Amino acid sequence: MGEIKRVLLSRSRIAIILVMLFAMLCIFMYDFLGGIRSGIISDNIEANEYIQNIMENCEGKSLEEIDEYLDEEKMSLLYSTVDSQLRSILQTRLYFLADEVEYQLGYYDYLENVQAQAELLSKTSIFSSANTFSGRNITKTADDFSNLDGVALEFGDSYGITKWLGFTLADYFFLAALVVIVIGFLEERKVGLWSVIRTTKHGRSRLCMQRIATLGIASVDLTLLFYLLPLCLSLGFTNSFGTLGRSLQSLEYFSRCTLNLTIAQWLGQYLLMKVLCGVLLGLFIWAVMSTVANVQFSLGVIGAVLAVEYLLNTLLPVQSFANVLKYLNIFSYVNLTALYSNYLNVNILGYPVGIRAMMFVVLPVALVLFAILCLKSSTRYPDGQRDILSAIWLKLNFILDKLRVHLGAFGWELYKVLIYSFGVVVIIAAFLVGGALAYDVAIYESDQWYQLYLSDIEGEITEETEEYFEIARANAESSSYSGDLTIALYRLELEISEATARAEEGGYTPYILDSKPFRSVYGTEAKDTRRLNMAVAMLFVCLGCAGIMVYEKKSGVVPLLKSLKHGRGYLLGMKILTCLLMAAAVWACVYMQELKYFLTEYSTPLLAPVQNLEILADFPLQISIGGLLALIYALRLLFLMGVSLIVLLISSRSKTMVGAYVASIGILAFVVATLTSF
Amino acid sequence: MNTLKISTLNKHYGTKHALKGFSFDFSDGIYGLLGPNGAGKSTLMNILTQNLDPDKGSEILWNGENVCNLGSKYRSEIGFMPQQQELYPSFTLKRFMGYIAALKGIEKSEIDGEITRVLELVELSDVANKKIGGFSGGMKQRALIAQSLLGSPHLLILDEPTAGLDPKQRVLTRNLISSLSKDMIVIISTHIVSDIETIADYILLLKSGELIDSGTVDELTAQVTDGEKTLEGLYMQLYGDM
Repeated sequence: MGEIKRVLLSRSRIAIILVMLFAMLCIFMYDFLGGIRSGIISDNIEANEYIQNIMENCEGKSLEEIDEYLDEEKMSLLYSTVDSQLRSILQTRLYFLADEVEYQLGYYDYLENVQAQAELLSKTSIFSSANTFSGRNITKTADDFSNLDGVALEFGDSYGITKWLGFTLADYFFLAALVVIVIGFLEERKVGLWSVIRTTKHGRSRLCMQRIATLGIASVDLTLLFYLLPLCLSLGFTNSFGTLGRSLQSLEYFSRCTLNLTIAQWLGQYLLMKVLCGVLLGLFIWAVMSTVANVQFSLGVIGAVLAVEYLLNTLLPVQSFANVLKYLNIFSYVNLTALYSNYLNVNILGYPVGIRAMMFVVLPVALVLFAILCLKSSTRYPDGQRDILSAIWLKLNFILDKLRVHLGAFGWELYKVLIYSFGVVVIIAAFLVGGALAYDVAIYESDQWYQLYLSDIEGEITEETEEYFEIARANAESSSYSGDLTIALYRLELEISEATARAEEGGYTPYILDSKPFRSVYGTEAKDTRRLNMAVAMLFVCLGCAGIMVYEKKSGVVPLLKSLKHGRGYLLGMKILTCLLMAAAVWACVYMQELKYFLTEYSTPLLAPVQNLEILADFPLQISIGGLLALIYALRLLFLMGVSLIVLLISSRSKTMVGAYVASIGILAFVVATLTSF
Repeated sequence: MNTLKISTLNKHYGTKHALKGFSFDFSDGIYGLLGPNGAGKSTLMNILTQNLDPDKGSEILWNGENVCNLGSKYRSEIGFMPQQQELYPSFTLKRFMGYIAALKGIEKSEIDGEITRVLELVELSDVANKKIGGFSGGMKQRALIAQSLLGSPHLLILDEPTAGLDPKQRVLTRNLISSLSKDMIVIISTHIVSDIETIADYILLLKSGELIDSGTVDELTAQVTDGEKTLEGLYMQLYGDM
């Protein structure tokens, strides 16, 4: 009990896991709701009511009738006058329903096709031999799918559970939480108590058994937190708990699954398997980390082993001769849903073995094997072991230190921030998060003809524009949509004459521009998106810069540094330079991706004077759109640099890294909250 | 010949008068600062290393120039070894030395040679590529001495240099300090009277912020009125009631 309490009730461990859970739920809800902006939750609630209405209207209808009904709904939604942001959410949900109907309409044909294919291939000469892997595979596939004869698909709102199934990030949070738990088992090595614990009466096998039990309890807890909680959230939000009684194949996600179960039954089995897999993953991490005495090295070892396993799992082609390594892989137990959604037989000594069955047979064997390995590692001698990694590390340091000692004061500050204050991790995380951020909001144009014409003629207004109109007008008259086309053309002509008049008055070159792309990224409509992105960038600046001043204080070398020739103003200058560089790196990671997105997604002419954009008609500077973008991004860089200096100032008051991070983030969060509340 | 002239050095912490008109002329040689806790030794060392500002009216001249005007030029002459501390546990010793060398403004081409030289002096060459976090207290102490010697300073200020060292290392450190004093001023603050007795050319006795006496070991021990005529005897005579 003592070990279970020590590891699982440790306040720091609970705090880390809760932070991870909070981060995961935020990402899940961000993905589930379709972004973050004011009104997003109410829009989603409205979308739920809309889908509920549709579901009620679908009651008693056949799938074909539902399909037709949904097509009509699609059209009416397209021409409805609802707000563009709400319409985007409604469309997502409606199209999801329509896709499910389409899938269900074709599923029985798919099943028949599997059987027909099996029959056809068995008659083809190269596959006909029943004693080859191919022959056996054909027979097994047909047999497995015959298990689904008579399965009844039911139409229902599967959006919630499908979103949950697709959220594979939970698997990695679960894995990271297990690493946090396992590190607790190695704490005695870190604090130098390994020998002491090993010499106590229960310090070996019994302690190991207690730790395996701890892993079991932790796995249950983590499964409930990282899987069941988001599942309940998504089902609760879409009010679709009632849809769990349907057959598993009613979800397109499981179209290739041969288990004849209801969704609820499958969820029960899945969560139970997840707990067992959690124990196995914990034992695996523990066994691998125990191979090295040094805890810091062991983190590197587990990182390297997991990276290799991940690469094998994701990069090995299915047809590869080594595909057993792809599936007999720890990541098969990490991404457990893939075992259910994929149907594949691997060749084991000429016999086809389903990957799911294979992994489930291997699971208890692996559990026992890794438990024994952990037991062995718990009884090994702490001292006198030859630590090869330490020896390699020493050699590596010898070579690298020869280069490092020539770093100047700035080089050293940069090195300290990047390596010891995890600046490299912050920059990589900023780049990855930056790539995942939404940079624009959808702005729809209800008149599709107008949009087509505008896309055609967007650019400088010249004589060619007039020629284009003459041809377009002639074509419109002969078209069966002449009314709609003429209205669209008239609207455009009006805008062109207004733009020309404005340009003449302002003394700049007239352009006809589609302002929606610019508005969708830089306009007031995207205000919430920009705020979120700025908050993210500021958070990374905090994380990257908060440690710059604290490292010396924490180590108590400030008086020593102050007694050195360059230990005062010059050192402070180098620290400020490093801080600004970190801010610039975060800016590049977040905002250069935004700019790249704008430039690649949209074709707004950058040389056009900004006054041609209706929303910037009164802009006081004579500047091109490209120039304005350069100004915007330069100002953002300056702002982030300013933030970084504030962080530096705040963190310089702290004596611990944690204190510096908390103080910087706390004060900036307060500033952001205050500013955005106005 | 280097000179350090201190005139009427005062320092107040609020109402507490930590240094009371300290004046002394140092020239090349080893000086021992002796006194109980609160005597003003650390305050004096912090002022000499410019980690503390003295009160107005105080004057410190390095080779005839006011150290306030010299600024970083003065600090480039100093080698300072503070009391025991953690240093940068994640750094290897060589890395730490490289960092200090960069902040001392040592030429890049000379850094490697300088590090090798000082690590050999303190017998830490074999652990140069190991992390400081794994060092014993004595090894950290020697690492601190080594960094103070980087760049061959002319004013070496050592705070408790032999604390935490084993007997062999203490002897080695004492010998090392003795060998350094040819063309530099070495100021040592310590509680270990026997260390000072062995290596210091001149001893300064501080009490409650005042310089109460100074002289060679022989001059000072001659003043012992009761008991054995040693520095320890003098210490007990002067500070025994504290």
